[in-house]
Amino acid sequence: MLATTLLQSKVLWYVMRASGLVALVLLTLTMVAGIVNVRRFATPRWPRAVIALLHRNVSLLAVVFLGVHVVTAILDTYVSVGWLAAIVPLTSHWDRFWVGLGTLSVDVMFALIITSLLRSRLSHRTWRAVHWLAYASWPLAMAHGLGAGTDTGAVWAEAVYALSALAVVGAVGWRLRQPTGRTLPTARRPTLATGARS
Amino acid sequence: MPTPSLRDAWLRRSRTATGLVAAGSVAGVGLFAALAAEPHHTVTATSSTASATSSTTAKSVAASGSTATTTTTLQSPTTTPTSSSTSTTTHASSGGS
Repeated sequence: MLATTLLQSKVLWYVMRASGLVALVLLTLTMVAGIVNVRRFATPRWPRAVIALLHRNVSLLAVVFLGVHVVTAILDTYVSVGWLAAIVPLTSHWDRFWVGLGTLSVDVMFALIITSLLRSRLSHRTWRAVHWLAYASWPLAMAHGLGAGTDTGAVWAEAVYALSALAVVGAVGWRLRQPTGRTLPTARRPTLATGARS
Repeated sequence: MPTPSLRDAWLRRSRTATGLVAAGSVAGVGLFAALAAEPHHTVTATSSTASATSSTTAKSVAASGSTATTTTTLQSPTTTPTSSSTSTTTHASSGGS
């Protein structure tokens, strides 16, 4: 009864749009925390270990909201996306290209999460190589939002996109300005219980 | 190597920060969903009409050189976009926005 009401109402449609934007914001926070941490940014109040834990926790939160976004997109009856399109890019019945970019971003994110969870079993080089894909995941998600998002054009949505872009571009710019070779060898990096190294 | 108490403090801080981010995210979904439910194109239509009118205003002022013309022309955005905003509202509430 409740499920039927939900499916017939517009709640799923609005939750799908909102959770997509929140997932993008969380992905942005994850990116920024990862970028500043890799260059050993720290303050007495925000030591590296805390930033590393925050990076991990926020990335898992992003996955949760991404899950909500994907599930509501599939369940919603206004657009026909299809279950397959959640995993395989360019198979959506609706807005194939832009939805496909979103699917690619999800696939990359899952590769990042899985390799990070299995990090102790992987070589640092392999993990790092996969983690570089994060730099592809964020622009893919941004392009998906701009292209497929029906809120693109609304002032508030444009503000979210602009602030997210500003945050990531600022963090990347800051990282590039830092002198190279400042990262510590893997064995000497500070760890905190759960393998939160970077 | 951090002391156990320092480690606990770091863990608490990261948990607090994560909790705040999680709460903000849930609130964000609510806020964005409410904003998405509004017919936002009305705002765009109004602002574009307003800017179009203000450019007309500028031309009118330039032509006549009087402030009276300015006042009269600026009142038009409140009435002009009514028809366009109504049509967009229907579009947005049907889900396409």
